[in-house]
Amino acid sequence: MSNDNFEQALQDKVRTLPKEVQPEKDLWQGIDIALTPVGQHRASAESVATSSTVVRLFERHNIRNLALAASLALVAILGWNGLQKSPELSPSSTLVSHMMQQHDEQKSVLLASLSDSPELTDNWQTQLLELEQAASAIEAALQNDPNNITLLKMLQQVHQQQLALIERVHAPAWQQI
Amino acid sequence: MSLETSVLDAEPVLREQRLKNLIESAKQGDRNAYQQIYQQHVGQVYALCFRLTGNKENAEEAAQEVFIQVWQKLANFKGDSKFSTWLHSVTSNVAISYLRKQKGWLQKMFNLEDSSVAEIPCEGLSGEIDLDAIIVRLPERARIVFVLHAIEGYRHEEIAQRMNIAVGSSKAQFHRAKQLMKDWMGYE
Repeated sequence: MSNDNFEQALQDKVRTLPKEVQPEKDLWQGIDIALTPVGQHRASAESVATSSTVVRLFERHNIRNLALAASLALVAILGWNGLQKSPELSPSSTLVSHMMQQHDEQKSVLLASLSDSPELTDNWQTQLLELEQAASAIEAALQNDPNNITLLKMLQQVHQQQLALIERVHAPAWQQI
Repeated sequence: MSLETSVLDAEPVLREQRLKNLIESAKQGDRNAYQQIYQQHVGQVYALCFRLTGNKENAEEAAQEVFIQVWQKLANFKGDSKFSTWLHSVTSNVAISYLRKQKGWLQKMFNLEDSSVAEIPCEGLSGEIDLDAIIVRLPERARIVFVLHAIEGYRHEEIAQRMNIAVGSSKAQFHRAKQLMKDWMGYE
């Protein structure tokens, strides 16, 4: 078949390509959470709650700027889940469980290791509680939409913020400079 | 002119006016209005994201980022051009930027080459050649250039600027894309 035929066939194919393709899943929920203004709490009938803290964190740190280490951790968890097939849970819900379990363990270890260090601020536990509420809100949203990558990344980010907060308030004064 | 013709003529104008109203409401912070804009345009945005990124997961994520950024930039839309044209431009920029960031850490981890070609069948269920299936097989740069030039109608100069490459590179990638497609579509 000649080159002219190819050019014509290609043009025909391009002309008949659909202008619109609908995504297989609803993307609005993740967008809606990301757009929630600071200070505004929302909760739908399906208990898809969100928190101003989530959005504040989300706005402060663009989700694309996650550290390479965090991405590696996510890939590692995904890989681990691929090996650990559960007949009852979807891979995504297993991933969320693993993320929560791993985070709880890391936080406990960190708090235990820093229990003797002086605290540099008084209200850090309030801040930690806010972050925990934010994580709970994202986890609730993930129950309705377990494959939402944006929500998974937001959860990962909030977990990192919690660990960073604990480390920061217990860091020696010379590290604060 | 019959009444039926008048109604048909008026429909696009009314649709455009309704969209303008929604945009103005969304600019004032009306999330419901923005959700309606999303519903009207998600198909267009996702189609472009899918063709540019080459897979569903990346397309979903890029499309979400498009609508997050559009909300933040809505005040910049003055109505000089059609909203769909402006949205199209934002979408291609966000999707290219998304791929650049993705590629950054993926390449560091796995040392991926741009020349990789996915093994995906090019025929749809009807036995017809499925152009979308061929497009997603193309190497990344060739795919982006092909989509923007052949499908979206951008000039090579514009593509080069968006992708931060030379105009000659854009033309070369387009040629490369066509050669691969010619082969896959069974042309000598």
